[in-house]
Amino acid sequence: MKDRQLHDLLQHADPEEIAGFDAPGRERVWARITEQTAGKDTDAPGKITRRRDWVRILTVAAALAFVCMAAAGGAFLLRHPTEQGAGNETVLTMETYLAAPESTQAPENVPPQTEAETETAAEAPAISGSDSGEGLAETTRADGVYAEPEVRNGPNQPSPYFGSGVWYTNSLRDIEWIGAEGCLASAGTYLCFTGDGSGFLFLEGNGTETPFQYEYHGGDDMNVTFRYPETGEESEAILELKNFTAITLTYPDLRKDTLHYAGEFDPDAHFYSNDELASMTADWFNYFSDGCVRNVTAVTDPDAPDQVILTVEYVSYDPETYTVGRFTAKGDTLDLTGKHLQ
Amino acid sequence: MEQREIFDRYYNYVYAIVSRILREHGTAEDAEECTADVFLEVFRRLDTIRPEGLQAYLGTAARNRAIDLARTLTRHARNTASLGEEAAGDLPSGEDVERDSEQAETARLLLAQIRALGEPDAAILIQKFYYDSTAEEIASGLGMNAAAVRKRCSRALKRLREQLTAAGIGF
Repeated sequence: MKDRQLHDLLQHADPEEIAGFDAPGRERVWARITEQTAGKDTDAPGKITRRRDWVRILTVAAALAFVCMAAAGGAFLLRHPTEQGAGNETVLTMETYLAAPESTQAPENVPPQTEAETETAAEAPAISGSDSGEGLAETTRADGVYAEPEVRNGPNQPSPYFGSGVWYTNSLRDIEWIGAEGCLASAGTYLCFTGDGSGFLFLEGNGTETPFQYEYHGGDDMNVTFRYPETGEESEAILELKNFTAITLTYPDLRKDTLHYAGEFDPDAHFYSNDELASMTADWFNYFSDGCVRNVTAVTDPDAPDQVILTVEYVSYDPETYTVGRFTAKGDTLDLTGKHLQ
Repeated sequence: MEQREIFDRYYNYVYAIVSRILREHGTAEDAEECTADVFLEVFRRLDTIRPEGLQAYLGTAARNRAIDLARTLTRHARNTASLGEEAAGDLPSGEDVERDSEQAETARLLLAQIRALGEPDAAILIQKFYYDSTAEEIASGLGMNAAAVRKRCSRALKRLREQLTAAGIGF
């Protein structure tokens, strides 16, 4: 079921049933009520705080402005009839304007909308934001890899390939400017797509998190636009599905980045950066070995982007290697989430 | 019953009615204002309303207030006429009745599955997909941050799909 379907179906729900769920704004509305019952009447004469009051006022003001302008125009024309109304032409005064049929009152120089334009205007969805809510990939295989998604070429939709999921790249060159101190290129990057047109980008090294939005434009070129609200920057690319675990993004200057599927997006999962895992590992082994750990290095497993390889170097022992999950901090022989350390 | 008690008990009900009528015509702020007006009116007349008729009174007041506000907000003649037709309740055809009834039943089943998700996930989905609230608005009401709301929403949708599939409800 698509988000749009869910939205549309819910609109048919009985308000009495909907009332079983928390509605938004409860405390704001109660504050408004208590404010008014306590004598701070926002409807008091002379105090205008409500939006609809402003709507009324602006409507009246606009009407008054129109009447004044029309009156001024009429008076001008009455004073200069020969300049404005030579020959048999009708002199436009307030009276003639108001008496004229509606069709002659239409503003000039506004090209009429074609049917196609009208359709486009009516159908164009809002610019994808964090809550655009369309285009979740609907089919996943049991192993977490996407089954072949339906390719939709509608405008401004998140890509079906970017349904909820985590992808990894170590060459995200085109957007290196968004990273801390402009150096994303040298570090591996995880793109966590929440599935609703928004996502988070994590640096594998220090876990720096950058939110982004994405919009799939469809068409033969399969264009996708990434936006970074924090910087206001945009990045466009052509998307190509190499197989169901890899996507290629080709930028306007023909450079390419390849994203590898790393796993399902778990909203509750924590993203453990390499630095964080290294620090946790050092704490863990120092706890048991009385400070004998000299150094811990953490690198992403090149064959499995959701795994991190930890190398523990001791003061007087041979180094040991462990592998833990990027999003779990657990491995076959090591669980860094043990609470007894705290 | 104390005013706050009445408010807490019927807030969701009144807000649901108001927001449904104002959906095409106003903003969330308009819906909140209108809801406040409904309760203020009821509180002023509380002595004259029988407790067993309170919900019905609130429902009627909510509908009337919301329609009035929608008319105020939609000054354009076409919209006003359209609203008037809605309010007057054009006689629907047999097909319309059947389709509406099917959709209402589907919505009822869907709501049951959403309810089964538990809180706060159910509230998040309803606020997002019924009230069209943003993640920030939902977060502020639920005392969470927006990122957490997005994450929970994403997870809840996944679970909902699984539940619907398990229940044999396909769309």
